[in-house]
Amino acid sequence: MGMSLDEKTVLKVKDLDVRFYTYAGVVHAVSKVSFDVYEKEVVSLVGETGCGKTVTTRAITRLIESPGRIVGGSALFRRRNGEVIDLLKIPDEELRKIRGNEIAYVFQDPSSALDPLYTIGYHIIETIKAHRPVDKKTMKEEAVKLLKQVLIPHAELRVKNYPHELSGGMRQRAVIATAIANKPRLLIADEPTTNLDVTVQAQILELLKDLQKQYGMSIILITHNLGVVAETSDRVYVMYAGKVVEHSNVFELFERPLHPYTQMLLKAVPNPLKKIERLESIPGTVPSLINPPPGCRFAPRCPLAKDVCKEKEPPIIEVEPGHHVACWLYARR
Amino acid sequence: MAPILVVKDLKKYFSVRGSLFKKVRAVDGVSFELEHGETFGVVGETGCGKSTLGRTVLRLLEPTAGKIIFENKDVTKLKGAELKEFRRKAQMVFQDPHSSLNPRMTIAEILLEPLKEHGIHVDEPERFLVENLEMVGLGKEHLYRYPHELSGGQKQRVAILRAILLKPKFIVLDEPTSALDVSVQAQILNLLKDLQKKLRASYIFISHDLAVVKYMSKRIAVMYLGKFVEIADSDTIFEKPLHPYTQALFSSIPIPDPKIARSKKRIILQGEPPSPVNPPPGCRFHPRCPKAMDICKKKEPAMMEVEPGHYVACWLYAKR
Repeated sequence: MGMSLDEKTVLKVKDLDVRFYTYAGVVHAVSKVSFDVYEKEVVSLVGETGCGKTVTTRAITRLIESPGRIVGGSALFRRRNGEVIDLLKIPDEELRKIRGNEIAYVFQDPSSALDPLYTIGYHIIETIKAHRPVDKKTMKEEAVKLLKQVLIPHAELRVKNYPHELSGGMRQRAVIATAIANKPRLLIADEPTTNLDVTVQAQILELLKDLQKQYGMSIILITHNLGVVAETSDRVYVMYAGKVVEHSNVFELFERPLHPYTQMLLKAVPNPLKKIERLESIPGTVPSLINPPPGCRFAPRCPLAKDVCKEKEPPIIEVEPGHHVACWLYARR
Repeated sequence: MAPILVVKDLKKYFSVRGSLFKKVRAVDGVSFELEHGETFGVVGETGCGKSTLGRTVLRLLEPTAGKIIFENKDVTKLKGAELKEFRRKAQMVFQDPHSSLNPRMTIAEILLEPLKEHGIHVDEPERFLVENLEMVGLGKEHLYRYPHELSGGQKQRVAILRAILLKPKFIVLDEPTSALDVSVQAQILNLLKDLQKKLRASYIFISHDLAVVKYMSKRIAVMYLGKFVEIADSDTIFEKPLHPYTQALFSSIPIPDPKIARSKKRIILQGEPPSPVNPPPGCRFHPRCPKAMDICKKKEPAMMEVEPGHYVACWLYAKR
C-alpha cells in the first residue's frame, strides 16, 4: 500500500478528528491530534476529564460508536509481520484480527470489562480462541500460565473463579492477563489504576512495567494522574480540550514545561515531598467542545493570553529537540 | 485551650445479615483529639473505616461504644434541643456533590433549607445568598439553577457553602475533592483553607489521597482496618513514618517528579487488606507486614507516644 513508517515506530496517528453529532450540536471531541508510539516505550496521554484522551485511543481501532464519527486522519500501524496498514481504512474484518491480538486494551473499570456470567479462565480462552488455532488443553494451560504471570496467587484455582469472587486489584490483573494473552505489540491502558487503592496501584504499575519488558511491547497509558505519569512513562502528550498542547520526554516535561496549561497543571498537583503553602489553581473551567473558542482553546483561562491567541490557533512546533508545544509564546509568526 | 472534640475508644460495628454473631468492625476503638481551628487528616485505603468514623463522630451513625466529647458534653447521650444544637455546630461535606444535593431543588432552596430547619431568619434572603455565593466563587446567576446545571466543582462549592452557612464549629470533610479534576481540586482545597481561617472552624479531613491530606492537615492519622496505626504532625509523619504500613503506604504514592519517582525505594505490599468481619488476631497488619515478628501474630500492640506528639501502634517500637 505504499505507506511507510520509521523503523522504530509502531503507531503513527496523524490529524485524527473525531466528532459526536448530538442534539445539542457537533462536539469536536478530538481535533487534529497527532502522536507517535515507538517500539518498547510507554507513552502517556495526560489531561483532565473531557480532554479527549480516551476518545483518541478508542478511535485508533475504530471503537467509536454512534453518534460519534471519525471524520479524518490516519493511524499507521506496523503489524507483527512488518506490514504497515492504516487502521482507519482497512476493512472491519481485518481490523478484528488486530484488536485483542496485536493491539489490546485494558480499561479503567475491571468489573465492566469482565462478563459476570463467565469465569476468568473463559475470558482468557475466548481471547486466545479468537486469534489462534490451538487445542483446548493448551489454551487452559496458557490461561493458568497467564494468571501466574500477572501474579495471581493459586492460579489453578482462580482460573475457575467468577469475576465477583475476586477483589478489584485481582480483577484488574485478570483483565491484564486477558489483554496480554496474544502477546500484543501495543497495549492501550486507559486509567488502569484509577479505581484502585495506592498500595494496589503500585502493584499494578509495577506489573505493567515488568510485562512491558518481558513482552517487548509498547504501552499507551491514559491517565489524569501526573504522579503515575512521572513514575511510568518515557514520553508524554498533554491534551487539553481535544488537542495536544505539548509533548516531550518525561524528564524534560516535568523540569521545563512550556505550555502555560502544563505549567499550571503541574503546580496544581500537591507534591507530598514538598512543603506547599498554597496550590496554584487554574481559574475557570474547560470550554464546551460544541463551539470551541476560536484560536487557542486554552486562551480563555490563560493568564498570558495575547490578542493573537484568541484569533488564531497556534501550530505545534519543536522548540527543543523532541520537545513540542502549541503556543503562540514560542511560535514565530 | 481545651480541644474542641475528644473521641475516646469509639467503636462502630455493623451486623452481618443472616448471622447473629458476625459483625463488621468498621471502626474498632479509635481515640483522638481535635484542637480549635486545626485540620486533622485521616488517611487510609478503601474499607479501612475512615468514612464510617467521620459519620459516627457526627452521630449520623449511632456508635456501638465509646465517647465523643464536644464542648464538654458527650454527644452520644445528647437528645432533643441539645442534639439539634450539635447538628448546627457540626457539619459534613460529602464526596459526591451530585448525590448530596437534591436534584429537584434550586441552589437557593438547597441553601435556605438548613436555615429554615434551624429557625434562623434572614431579612433579605436573596442578598444574603448572593453575598455568600460570592464568598465561594459563585454568583447571582447560579441562584435559581438546579444542581444538574452546574459542573462538579461548582456543585461542591454549593455543598461547602450549605455546610458553612450555619457557622459550624467543626466540619467533617469526607473526600471532598475525589470526584474532581486536579485543576478544580486545587480551587476547592484553597477555598476550604480560606474559609477555615475566616470561620475559625476545625476540620476532620478524610481522604485516600495522601498528598492532598498533607496539604490540608496539621496532624494526620493513618487508619488500617478500623484502627489508627499512627498519628503525628503532618511533616513528621511524611519525613519519619514509623509504622510499616505507613511506610509502605507513603512509598506507594506516585510522586509528580520523574527523577525522584524513579530513584526512590518502593515497598510493594503483598495482597490486599483482609475483611473487617474477621480481622486477623494480634496486629491487624501482620499478614502483610514485611517486618512481622512472632508477637505481632498473638498480641495487639497498643498506641504509644514514641516522641512528643508522635503516636504509633507497633511492636517494633514497644518496650515489652
